[in-house]
Amino acid sequence: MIFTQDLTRKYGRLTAVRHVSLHVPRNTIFGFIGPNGAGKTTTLRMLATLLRPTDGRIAIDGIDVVANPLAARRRIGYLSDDFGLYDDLKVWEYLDYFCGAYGLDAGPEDLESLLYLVQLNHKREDLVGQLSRGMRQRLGIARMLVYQPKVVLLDEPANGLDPMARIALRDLLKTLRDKGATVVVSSHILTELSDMCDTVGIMELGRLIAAGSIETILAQTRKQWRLVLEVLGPQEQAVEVLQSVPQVVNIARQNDKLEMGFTGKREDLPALHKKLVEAGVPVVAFFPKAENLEDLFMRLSTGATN
Amino acid sequence: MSVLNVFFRNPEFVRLLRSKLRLKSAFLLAVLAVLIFGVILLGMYYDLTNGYGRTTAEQMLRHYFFTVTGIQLGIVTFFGLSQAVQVITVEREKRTYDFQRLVAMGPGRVALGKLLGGPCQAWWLALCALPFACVPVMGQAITAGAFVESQLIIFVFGLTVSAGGLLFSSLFEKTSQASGVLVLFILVMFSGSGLLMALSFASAGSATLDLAATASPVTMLARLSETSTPGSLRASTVSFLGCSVPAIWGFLFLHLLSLAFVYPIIVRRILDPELSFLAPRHAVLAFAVFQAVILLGCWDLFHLDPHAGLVAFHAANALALVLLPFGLFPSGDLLRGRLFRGAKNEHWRIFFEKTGVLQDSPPMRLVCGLAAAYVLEAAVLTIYLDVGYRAVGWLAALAVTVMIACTSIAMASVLLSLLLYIERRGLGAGLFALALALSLPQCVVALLAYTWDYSILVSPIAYLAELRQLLRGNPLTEDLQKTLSCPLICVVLAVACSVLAVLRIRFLLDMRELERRREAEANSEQKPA
Repeated sequence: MIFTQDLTRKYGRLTAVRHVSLHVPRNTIFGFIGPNGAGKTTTLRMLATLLRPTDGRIAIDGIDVVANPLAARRRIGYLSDDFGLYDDLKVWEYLDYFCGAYGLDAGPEDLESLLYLVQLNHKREDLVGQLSRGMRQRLGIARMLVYQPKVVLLDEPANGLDPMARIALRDLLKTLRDKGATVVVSSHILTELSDMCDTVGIMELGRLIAAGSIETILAQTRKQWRLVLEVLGPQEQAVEVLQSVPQVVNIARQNDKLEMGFTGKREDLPALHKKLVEAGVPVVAFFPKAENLEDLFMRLSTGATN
Repeated sequence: MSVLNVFFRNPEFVRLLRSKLRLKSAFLLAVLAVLIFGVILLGMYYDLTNGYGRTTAEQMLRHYFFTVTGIQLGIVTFFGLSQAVQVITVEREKRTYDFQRLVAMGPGRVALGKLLGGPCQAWWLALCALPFACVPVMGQAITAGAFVESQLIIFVFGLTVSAGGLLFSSLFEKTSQASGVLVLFILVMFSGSGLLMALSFASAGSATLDLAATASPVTMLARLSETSTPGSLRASTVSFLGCSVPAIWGFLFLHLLSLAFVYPIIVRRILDPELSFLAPRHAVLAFAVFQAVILLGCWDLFHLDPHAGLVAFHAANALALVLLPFGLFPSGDLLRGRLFRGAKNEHWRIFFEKTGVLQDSPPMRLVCGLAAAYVLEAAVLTIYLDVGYRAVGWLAALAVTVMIACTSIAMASVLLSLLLYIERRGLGAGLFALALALSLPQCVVALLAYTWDYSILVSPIAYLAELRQLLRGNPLTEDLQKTLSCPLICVVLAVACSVLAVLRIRFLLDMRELERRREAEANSEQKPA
């Protein structure tokens, strides 16, 4: 659905995005992760046809975005991080405007159902300027939904939202994906993304340093497993056994557990477990520690920013 | 109905109406209109009944009509302009502009909605004056035709002014910047147009002046008021290609032409602010139309006084060709983007490259092409207007053409260098450089020589001012040094500026090559790890 090749954007002497090649399949939620200044917003603005790339190609639904931006815009819904609304319009007038702007002949029922979807139906006659931050965010999303775009681009959508609103946003994005949209969402709040994204891309200094499903990237970038071992009684015997295995490194005591790195393969883990048991170590629990997006980001990112 | 659909089926127009002209504000404006025009009517009626001022009711009503239309014109001009100039900048400031650029209705309809809806309060106020303007018509002091024509003048001029305001709004980030530059522009236009006319048409006393004057709504309303009997502007004519056409046609032609020129620029700015103001095709078309207007407008002058006609032709072209590069250059970021993709030793190729899909090439090829077209046209015109020049006259006719073409190329090259050096503020710096280049030489020479007489040697403006004498081969000015000095300087400048711009491109391409190598080395070092 979204395809970029060697996408590059320069602002004067600063190269904000460098050679980003990306493929986001249909019906997925793709998350852009990266520190501030990594190039996420610039990439999203180029995808949204709001910014011309210095070099490279972008195709959305098979349309060359640079050569034919107007055709691409019919397929794109974009919500920036600090977007504004027309404060002097009523809520229904705001949506009516965008319905008209997209050539849709939406009746009052259509607007009502849209407002219901984002839980703003009770604010129908209010001026947009009177809405709270969360409500404005929901109205911004409703604006995107009026024409059911095939590609939804969201730049830091959860900024300033309370926990309930974040959960509602996450559910809404999943609904959009289930209805056939491809969602690209950027954020530097990693837990927020890991809950909803099918695939992620990690950006740093304008480069895409990794892309794919979280599990795949974890597997590709994993140099060692982190293992957790819990034993009954003293841990000395267990440490002794572990130290005799060359693949076990960095053994550390964490309260009543032992944490260690394991440079071998996943298939070698049962053998290690067997060795511990045969040595008479009273093993209560032995498992690889689950890694999340945060671990992945910390592993790949150097923390540098433009 | 289809005309109304253009307005009310345009979501942007409807949005602006909803934003600015809700029932409450519409009512308040209507009350304001009633107060203004009602008080004036009462005052005049008081004058009439008490025997002051106007003596007859018809005269009083005629005076009242032109007072109302004058105020209407003032409203759509000043109030409308102040509203139009903030239509896009306010969107930028409130961060709603991106969404507008993304909507499927396209920038053309967005621009149309903004053009009509942006100054809607001014339009409404002018509309509220209509019943009052109808009073003299009902009193049979003014014909219905004159009434319609006056309203047509106000509407069309209002549209032109709004388009101008909208253009400025699309050029700047902030409302304050747009308003400030617009005020400056109006001041320069007021003084500059007088200067141009003095330069080009002085002592000509021909119908071309009429054509220029026809563009003014004040002149048109004044003409309308001056007709002794209630009548229409058809009594007043303007000369165009040797024919007398009704002045209202000339007015409509000039203003609709201005709209046709400005509107695509606004659309392009909404589509992508990084692109050049004029697309190459638009520039060629605008240049061709401009040439047609100049030739047709000066037709009488060419036959009445060929020298003055040629001066007017060259002066108008000088202005157009010097400003042309400003309309053709994309943003500095885009230009740098083109160099980013460039390979080593491609500097001359990039310098003369044809504009492609990405529209980030320097427009030197187009500038040179249009300058060449102008040279060709001027040569044909000079030969056609053969009035028995002396040798120096022929030389001056050739030299001025080369001078103007080279000035345009030099300006484009300077602009290219500036945009490559300072990127974002390049166009502003270019305008500053232009102003400096046009004013500094003659000032320096005047300071050094304690006289303005020698400024013709270095200043294109002075050269154009003296062109009439040079073309005539007047013995007093029959001086080869005077004839050739400034054009030769312009030729040298064009070559030097072009070479400097190419050298800058070459330097940046070399830097890019170095960067590529470093990136390749860094990648090859990373791979083994």
